[in-house]
Amino acid sequence: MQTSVRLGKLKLKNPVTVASGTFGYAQEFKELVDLNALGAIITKTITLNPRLGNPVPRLAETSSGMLNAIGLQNEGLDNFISIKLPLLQRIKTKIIVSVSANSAEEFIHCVQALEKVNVEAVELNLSCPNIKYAKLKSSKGKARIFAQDENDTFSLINAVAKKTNLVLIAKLSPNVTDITGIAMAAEKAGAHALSLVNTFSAMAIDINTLKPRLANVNGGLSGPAIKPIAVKMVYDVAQAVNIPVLGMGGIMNSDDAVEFILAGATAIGVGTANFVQPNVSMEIIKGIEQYCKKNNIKDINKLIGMFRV
Amino acid sequence: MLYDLKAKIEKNQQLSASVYYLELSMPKIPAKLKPGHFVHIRLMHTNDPLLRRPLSVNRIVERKLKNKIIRNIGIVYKIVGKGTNLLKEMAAGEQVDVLGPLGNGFELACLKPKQPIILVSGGMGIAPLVFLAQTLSKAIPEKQITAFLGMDTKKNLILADNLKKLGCAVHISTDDGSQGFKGYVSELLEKKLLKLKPNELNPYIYACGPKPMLKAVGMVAAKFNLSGQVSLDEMMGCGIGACLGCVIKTVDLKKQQPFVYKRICKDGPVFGINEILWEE
Ligand SMILES: Cc1cc2nc3c(=O)[nH]c(=O)nc-3n(C[C@H](O)[C@H](O)[C@H](O)COP(=O)(O)OP(=O)(O)OC[C@H]3O[C@@H](n4cnc5c(N)ncnc54)[C@H](O)[C@@H]3O)c2cc1C
Ligand SMILES: Cc1cc2nc3c(=O)[nH]c(=O)nc-3n(C[C@H](O)[C@H](O)[C@H](O)COP(=O)(O)O)c2cc1C
Ligand code: FES
Repeated sequence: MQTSVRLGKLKLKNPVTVASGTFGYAQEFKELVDLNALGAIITKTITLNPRLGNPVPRLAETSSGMLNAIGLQNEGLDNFISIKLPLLQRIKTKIIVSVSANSAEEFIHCVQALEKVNVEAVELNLSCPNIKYAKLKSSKGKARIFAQDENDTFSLINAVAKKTNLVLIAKLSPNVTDITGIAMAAEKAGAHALSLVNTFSAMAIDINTLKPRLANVNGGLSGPAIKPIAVKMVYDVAQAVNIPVLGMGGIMNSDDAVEFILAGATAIGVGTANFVQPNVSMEIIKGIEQYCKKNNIKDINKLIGMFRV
Repeated sequence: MLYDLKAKIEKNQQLSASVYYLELSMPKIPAKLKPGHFVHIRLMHTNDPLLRRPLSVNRIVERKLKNKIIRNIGIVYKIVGKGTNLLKEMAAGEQVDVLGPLGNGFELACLKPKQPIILVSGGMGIAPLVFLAQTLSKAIPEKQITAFLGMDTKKNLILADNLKKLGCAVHISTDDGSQGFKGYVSELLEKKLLKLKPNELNPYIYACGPKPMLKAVGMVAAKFNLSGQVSLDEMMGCGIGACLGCVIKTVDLKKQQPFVYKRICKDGPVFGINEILWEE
């Protein structure tokens, strides 16, 4: 069976990736998962300078989901390149480095540094709900995130695309009125693929202590609770653009993964499910193959967007 | 080595109004366990509750099965919310998924010969200290162990007899004075330490409980210039160091930053008593 798919120039041996921030830098899972079997590994988002992240509690469980407000804790670009990346590059799969920054200049700096050390693809995280990117032109000084504005999305990706040959995957936010407009702006600006969705802005209150359950007050909702909304967003975006979509949001098993592919996702990302069952990605790879066999599909690419209305 | 295995519930018994004893049998994991380790349990394959529940290993139980010695894991858990309420309804014979062994565990190598040991617990913090006492009393039979146990009220007091059977001298404090000293366990500890003779070897402290209690114990330790270790508790996602959900502020040894966040699940849950930067 033919299981490989493409995100621009990036060829994945199968469509199953692990989502940024839910798989660390892969070493954490090495005793539980055959890392070489994954379609790709997307790293925890890194930034130019180290970030301490938010105070605790950073997590809260909600019905069929969870909230997080990690705040992009990471050790910064240089430490990533010298310590984490060499270990990642020994794994026989594609490594997609997730990057976030406050400005186009900072994004370009990170992406070019990664290009020099043989990274093939980056995911531009334009959509973390837990940090605020100040000083955006459109926001008139108010803090907000890139992927909430078509112009910001366009000018940022356009600036980065001009300065690099890496595969650029733009990670979009679901916290918008119309995600297809942002998706089209990203495509026009030169993104090679789109990754969606990031977490939904959300909060929870402890009714006994009268306090928010996250120290950051609000955070991002992930897990099975968001899946039907994510499926629709992937469907809408896949209809609107010609570049491949990496779909995610609440995927817990291979049935969920197939559903995203049918909706139009070329590849899928397993996120929160990694916390619940660390080797779930292995079961998803097998389950997708079994589904294809059962339905006599010889090439996984045939499955993409195959559902009928 | 880390394992994610099916475990069989051997026992699930009520110990007090809100506390249960759970015994699990499974291959591989029990042989690798050290005191202070915890396991991350998935109760059932449903989406709600979604996440696993971290629970400390309370003891290793050896049972004879057809001439073979089988090692089971004993866990003592308190009914808190959704997950533990579901767990208490599960019956012997049912299965749960167990991820472990997790965490660093208590360090024992740092103990000096003949050094007296002090255990301090607040509430459910007593759970991992029983496994510690079990291990210490086996490894060093002549060890002098004194346990200070803090609880809200007498009827919730658990496991004190287990510690006595393991040879510990036990002192109790309750918030309402219904048993032992009335007040915080850190105050009781301080009172006893004041009676320490100057020529005695400084005791070594192992403590587990809620953060404010550990902070108070840390201050007492600093006052008497004692070293020791504390085991911490925080909301957990992955349990294996990947999500960065469970961090605690620690002293930056490189002195470059005001603090560094360490992961309680992976770098801990046990830290040096002087390593933690307690918040207000
Ligand atoms: C390393 C470690 C060891 C622990 N060992 C024990 C033990 O031996 N005995 C025991 O009774 N309890 C122990 N706890 C606390 C125990 O994990 C929680 O009481 C339990 O998860 C509550 O689950 P729930 O579904 O009943 O409560 P809910 O309030 O419904 O839980 C909702 C969410 O919050 C999390 N949560 C709630 N309270 C805590 C807490 N105090 N610490 C961490 N997560 C929490 C749950 O895991 C879950 O994700 C330990 C915690 C940690 C971090
Ligand atoms: C604890 C946690 C941390 C995350 N960190 C990041 C991150 O650093 N960068 C990013 O682009 N997305 C991050 N995400 C979002 C996931 O990559 C994913 O988009 C989202 O969780 C939806 O998928 P899921 O429902 O399968 O988890 C994080 C999610 C969680 C739960
Ligand atoms: S629970 Fe995920 S890093 Fe500790």
